[in-house]
Amino acid sequence: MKELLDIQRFSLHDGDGIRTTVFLKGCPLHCPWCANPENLVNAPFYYVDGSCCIKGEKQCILSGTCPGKDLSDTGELYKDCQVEAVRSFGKYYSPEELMEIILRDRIYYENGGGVTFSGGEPLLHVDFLADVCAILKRTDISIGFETCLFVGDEGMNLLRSYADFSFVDVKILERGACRELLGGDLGLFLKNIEKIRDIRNRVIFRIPIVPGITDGVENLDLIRKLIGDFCPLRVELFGVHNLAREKYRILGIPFTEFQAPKSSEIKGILDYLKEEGIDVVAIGI
Amino acid sequence: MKKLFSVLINIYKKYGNLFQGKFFYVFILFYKHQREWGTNRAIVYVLREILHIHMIKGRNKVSAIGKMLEEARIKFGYTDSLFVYPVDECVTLKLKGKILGNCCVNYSKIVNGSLEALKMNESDPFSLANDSLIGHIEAYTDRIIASIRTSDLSNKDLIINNLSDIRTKEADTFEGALQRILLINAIQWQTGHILVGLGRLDVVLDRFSDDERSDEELKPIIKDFLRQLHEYYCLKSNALMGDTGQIIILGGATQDDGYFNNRFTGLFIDAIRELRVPDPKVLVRISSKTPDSIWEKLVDLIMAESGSPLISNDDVVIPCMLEFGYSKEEAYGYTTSACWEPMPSEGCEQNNIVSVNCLKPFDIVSEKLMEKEPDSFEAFLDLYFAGLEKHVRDILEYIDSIDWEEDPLISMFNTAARQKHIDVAFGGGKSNNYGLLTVAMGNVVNSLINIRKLVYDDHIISLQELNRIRRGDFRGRTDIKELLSKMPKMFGTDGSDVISMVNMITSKMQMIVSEYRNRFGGKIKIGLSSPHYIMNSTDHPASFDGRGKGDPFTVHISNDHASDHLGLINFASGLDYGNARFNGNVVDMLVSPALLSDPVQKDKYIFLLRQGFKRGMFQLQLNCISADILRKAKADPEGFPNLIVRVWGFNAYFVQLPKEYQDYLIERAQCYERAS
Repeated sequence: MKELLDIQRFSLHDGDGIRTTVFLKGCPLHCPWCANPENLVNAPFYYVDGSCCIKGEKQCILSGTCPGKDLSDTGELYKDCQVEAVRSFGKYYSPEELMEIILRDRIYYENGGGVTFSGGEPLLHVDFLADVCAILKRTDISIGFETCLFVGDEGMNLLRSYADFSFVDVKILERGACRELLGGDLGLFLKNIEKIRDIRNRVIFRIPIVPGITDGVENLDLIRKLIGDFCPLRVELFGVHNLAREKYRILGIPFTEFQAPKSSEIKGILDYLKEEGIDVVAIGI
Repeated sequence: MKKLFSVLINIYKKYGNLFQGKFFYVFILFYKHQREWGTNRAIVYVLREILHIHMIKGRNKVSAIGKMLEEARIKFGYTDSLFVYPVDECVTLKLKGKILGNCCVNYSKIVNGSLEALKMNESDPFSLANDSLIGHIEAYTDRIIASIRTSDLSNKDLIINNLSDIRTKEADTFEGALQRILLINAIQWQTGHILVGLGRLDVVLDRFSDDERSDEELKPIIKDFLRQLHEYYCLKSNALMGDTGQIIILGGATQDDGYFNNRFTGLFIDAIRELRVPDPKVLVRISSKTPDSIWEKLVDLIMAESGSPLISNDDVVIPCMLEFGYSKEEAYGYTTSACWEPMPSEGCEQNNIVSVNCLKPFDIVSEKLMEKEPDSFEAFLDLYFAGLEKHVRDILEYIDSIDWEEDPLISMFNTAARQKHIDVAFGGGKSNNYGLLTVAMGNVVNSLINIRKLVYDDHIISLQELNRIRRGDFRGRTDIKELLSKMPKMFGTDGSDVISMVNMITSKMQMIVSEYRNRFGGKIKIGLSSPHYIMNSTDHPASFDGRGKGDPFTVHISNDHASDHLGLINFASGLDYGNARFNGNVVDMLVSPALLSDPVQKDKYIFLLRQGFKRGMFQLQLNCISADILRKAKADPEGFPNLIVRVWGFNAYFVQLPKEYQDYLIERAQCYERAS
């Protein structure tokens, strides 16, 4: 069994310590501000990295047929390009192959670090992750998940079984807006929130502040109520950014630019949440 | 012009002792000063000093030194200082042989002893020379004292007391100890030594750790001391500005499985950080027992963009030294030759004589290659190794041809030389090993991987055709140059294949030198770092990694094309430093200031470094600088006069570096930022 993954070693922002972040493909939501659009669909996407490609205007000396661009349909044919100009978002790895990479850096996990599964939505890949997580547990490597919680029971069982901590995205808690803007069933989210109530001391809520979408008074009020009721380990706020612009361009997906929130707005929301006695911090992602 | 200078420097480094005379020294002084002041001001300086500039010779070495110390003008740089540090750069010694470089004397002999105690009072030539030299130093000290009396120095009485005591007493104050170090160090420079290391100053000064004054009171004294050592920066700088060898070594593992550090360890680190001058610089020896407080200070120093420190891993270095044959005392007390090559604390081993150019074998075997295409990659490797052997043996032959300049000053501080009554230049040291450095290892490994892939795996091109194109510097075949340069650069990544390849090459090199003994019975050590990665590359032909003729070689242990910190550290940790392969192996990395400015990320980075050393990384130097700042400094040098960067194994003002070094640093910083 192989799964399509992107692997990022030396991750410093995805949990305690130094971590290896494993991105899995496919997502039940389609957040307009998504910073990882390459992970929305569970299929490899091939493209040409112009800075590596040697083709120019002539025929490539390595491949007589490679067009040197627009490989989305034919990339599989050229994926073994010797100069690695044909890149893909994601490569297929078996659990063993993934573990080989993870274990290379084991010495750096000792200070609370480990592996964080992100996406896309990692909890959509239960079979693959069950195998990997079982090995990680045996080898005593910390496991974290970044999830939106819009997943089925199997995913939730996996989370409950293996997560040493979870980043849970809390985005839009207005039922209609959630469906319309994110494509998500809020009921499913709320049901799953209940399933992790007993492990809430291992749950960190992450709230994206997207001006005009998630920062409305009504939404923030609902979020504050949820947090107050749930009492997670910690809450983190972050402002939306436009760093994924290049990825959207490569993927050929229209990019919607969002205004990054002002620091005064972030501070205002922090203060608003802190009024409820919530342990909340602003982070940069 | 630059090429001419580069060729001249290379000739001077090898055969400098053959070019003697006033005219030559005038040229050297002009060359050194024009780097800082520009041509016009340097010419004015040389013309103004022309009557003073001279080379001194005597009937023997000691009498020449004596004459020099009589004639050298005594000048004081700072009137408000607690110290004096006179060097007359216009007077130099005429040398007969190649002077020992990269030496650091054991200053504890003068801090915890006296000139009188260093006298031997025997009648053999070595002892007579030693005692005569001490007599000259005493007379020179008297001259300095007399000059101080008529000077406008603010702290005359204190300095005179400290200098007077040196004849018969051990230093009784912290300031007195530092003044003694300055006096002997100044005489080292005055007598033509180059790349003068400062040794383990926290160890040397340990007796003063219980000074009743607070750290805040002692720190300005240390800064004053460092400020004096920064004097004559231009004169002291060797091939490049900043290349002075003035390294202060701090901390270190102890034989009882502990870690030595005292209040001066932290104080020197803090003082260097606050002074923000590129020279002197620190090398900090760390081990698994290094306390968190020292690590904090180290990372603060890195963040201060001071260019320091170089970090050396005792848990790897010391076992390598023991395996090589050094005693426990020598290994645990190691210092380094100028930049990074470990050697015993009183060592005067010449570890930086010449660099093995790992690309050279390609050219040595090129004709043979054109006669017959090797039928397998292994056959080509054999050919490469034959070329390597020829190159290394040529180097050994050159080393054997060197006549070293007699050195009574260094001998005076060398216990073994004093016991043997033999000058260190003639084998008086306890160990008399030599060290070889290497350049272009990264270029070779990437070249070999390219050849294996393109020629033998994928049959894209024949090796003879590839070599023909390379020898022609890719003229008319830019497509091949582009192909080679865009192939994945594997050197510095942590695949087992590339690590094995490096180990195989260094192992082969070690086998070639293993039987060698120099005329004093010394052996050869090799290392993967060299300061010559640009200097030696200026006229070197193109290589199979797409590097064009004259382009710089890869830097030490680095990966120029990705900021894969873990991969690079794992790579360095996987290299085999045993079997005499410990002559300096520096990982060269860049880190973004933005990363370290966040306290949480900073802690994680400290942990990364500690674990990297635990895993087996040998040595590390870091630049913490953004490409944007470097670009601005290049465009507006006057706006960034004090921007310090680390180059080779030393620190320098960025704006004083030649353009190609500036561009190289900018390019590497950009690569790191893009990838992170």
